Amino acid sequence: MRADEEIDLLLFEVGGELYGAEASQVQRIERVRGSPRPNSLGRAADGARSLAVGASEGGDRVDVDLVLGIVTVSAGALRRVPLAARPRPYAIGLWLDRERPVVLIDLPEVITNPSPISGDATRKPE
Amino acid sequence: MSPSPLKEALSAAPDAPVAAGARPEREYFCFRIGELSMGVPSENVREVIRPGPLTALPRAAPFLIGVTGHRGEVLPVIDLLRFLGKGESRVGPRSRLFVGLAENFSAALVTDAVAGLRKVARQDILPAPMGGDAGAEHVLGVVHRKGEPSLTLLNLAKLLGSARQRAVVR
Repeated sequence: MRADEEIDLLLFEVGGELYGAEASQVQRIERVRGSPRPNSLGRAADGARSLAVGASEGGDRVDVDLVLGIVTVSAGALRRVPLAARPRPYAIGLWLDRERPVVLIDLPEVITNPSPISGDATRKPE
Repeated sequence: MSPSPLKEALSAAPDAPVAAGARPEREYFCFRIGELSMGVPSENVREVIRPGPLTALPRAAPFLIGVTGHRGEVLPVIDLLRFLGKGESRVGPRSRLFVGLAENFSAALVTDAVAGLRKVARQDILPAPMGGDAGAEHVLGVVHRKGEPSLTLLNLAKLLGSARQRAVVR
């Protein structure tokens, strides 16, 4: 992909953290039916939204706190996760929103790796 | 007839300055973090920056407090106190990050205050205390200073290498 090409990212929040995902991975957005299910990114609060995700093994849902919308970003603003940060299979890269890195998530991978994260990952700087 | 003391001294005199006679010293980038005063070789420090937006990474190593963007580059941000097992840093508006380099790997490290560059004579560096803690393997030595806290000198290249390795083997 050339640096001047563009890609649509769906932005969403889980546990106060902002994430992005390739918008084409999301088939629809719904209200969560019942209690939100924890996933690799954390546990969404009540009243959450559910991302219906298509996956090779039939697809499932990823519950998130908030869907912020879709942004079109330049491929030149995408970055690999630094080696020292050891990307998880579902954390596939970063979008550099000016100086703010946004973690990019492979949603089908979240479905196949549903283990909840530890508390450290949700710790935020003061 | 024995040679005069001057001739004797001249016969043993070198043709060029002797390196051992100089005062070998190295420049360190010094900073404070928590209660600790630390220094790292200045050649391993690229720049000092203000903390920008910090993004936590899912399931990252505890000492890796996130990533930050700087001039189009994404830098991992390391909490030295956590890495050395000496507590936990707090990133606030007065904090500063310095960008450390080791081979082709760079990372931002959290400091509470930057003290600047300081030349330290090799002979003033005392060995790290024996039986040290988990971070002792990354200590080059300690410099005792009158009326000031001791300055702990870190091997930043080794530390960054270890950080990278620890992050990967988790």
